[in-house]
Amino acid sequence: MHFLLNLLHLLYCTQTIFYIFTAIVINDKQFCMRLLPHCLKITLPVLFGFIPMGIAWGVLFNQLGYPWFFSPLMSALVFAGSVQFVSIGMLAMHASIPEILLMSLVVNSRQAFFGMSMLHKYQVKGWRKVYLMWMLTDEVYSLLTSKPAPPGSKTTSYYLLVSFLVHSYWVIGSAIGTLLSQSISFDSNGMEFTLTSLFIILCIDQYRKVKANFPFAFAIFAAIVGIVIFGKQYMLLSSISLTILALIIKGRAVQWNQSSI
Amino acid sequence: MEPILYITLVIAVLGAATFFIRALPFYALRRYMHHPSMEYLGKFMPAAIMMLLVIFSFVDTDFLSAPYGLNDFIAAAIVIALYLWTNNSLLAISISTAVYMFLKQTDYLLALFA
Repeated sequence: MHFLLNLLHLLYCTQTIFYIFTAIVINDKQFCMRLLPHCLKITLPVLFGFIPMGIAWGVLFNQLGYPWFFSPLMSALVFAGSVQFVSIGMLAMHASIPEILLMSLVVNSRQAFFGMSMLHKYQVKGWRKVYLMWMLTDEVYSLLTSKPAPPGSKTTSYYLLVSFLVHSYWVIGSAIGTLLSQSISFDSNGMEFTLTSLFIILCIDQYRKVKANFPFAFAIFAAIVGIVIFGKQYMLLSSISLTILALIIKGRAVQWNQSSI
Repeated sequence: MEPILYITLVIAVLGAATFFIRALPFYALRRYMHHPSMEYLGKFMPAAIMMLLVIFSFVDTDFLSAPYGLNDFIAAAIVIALYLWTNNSLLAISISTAVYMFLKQTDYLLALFA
């Protein structure tokens, strides 16, 4: 009963936040309402991926013994699954703030590269841009680069709405997970495959869009090098850096060929 | 330190660090926005990143003991086939995930190797 009340309260808060967000941040409520079904449809797989992750996170966070609302608060402000999972261990050991800061910079560093291909897309100013940059996770990046804004819609509003939906799924998922973790009856083991299958589908979309093999070949090669040479801990960072390096060299070669003809 | 103060500080620091990392290229590379290399990256980098994210989804899979990652391969094959066939992403994702959950929770394929 207590759980249900908390959940209802949470849903009510989410709805209120959604109205405030669309009214103030996107500043175009009619447009948001028109775009909402489309955005819900493309972000729905993320919701189902985030719920089991949120439950896993909630179980771990509960063991630390802090009040439950710190879990959605952390998810709202940090919004980085890998950092949050790693931080649990450090929180349990009462690690110092500088240590935690260093860990988060190392674990998250691969996301510093995401912005490189979004420079042209995020052409807004002020705190809308701050929000967009802050929310640039794997899932948001994948969706925004693979699924363009529907024709006739403002791209910035579309970016904001998708970012906000994915953000709220993670906050709701971790709140539900924390509240539910003591009385869990549903076996969500394996449900995290929604995120894998979403990535596979967006990969197919990208292939149809770029009509070239080399980005995929570079990525596979860099992933093998990353796993074999740099090991499991640094493979993401190392293989993303390698891929970008290879792409820059290839881009240079293409330009050089064009200018020499 | 007070536990409440500690967790509040940790959340503030982690939030600031995450924002810093993600916003870095927007400020560090602002001058190079119209550089041909940046435009080239903007075109081809998302495809490469997607491929990497797909590969790393399978990093925690155990390929060395039964069922040798077969659960993942079957579910991945289903999502690819269904998406190419129907172009319906929600259908492909829900069916493949349901199959994956069934295979994983029941360890159905272990019988093949027993």
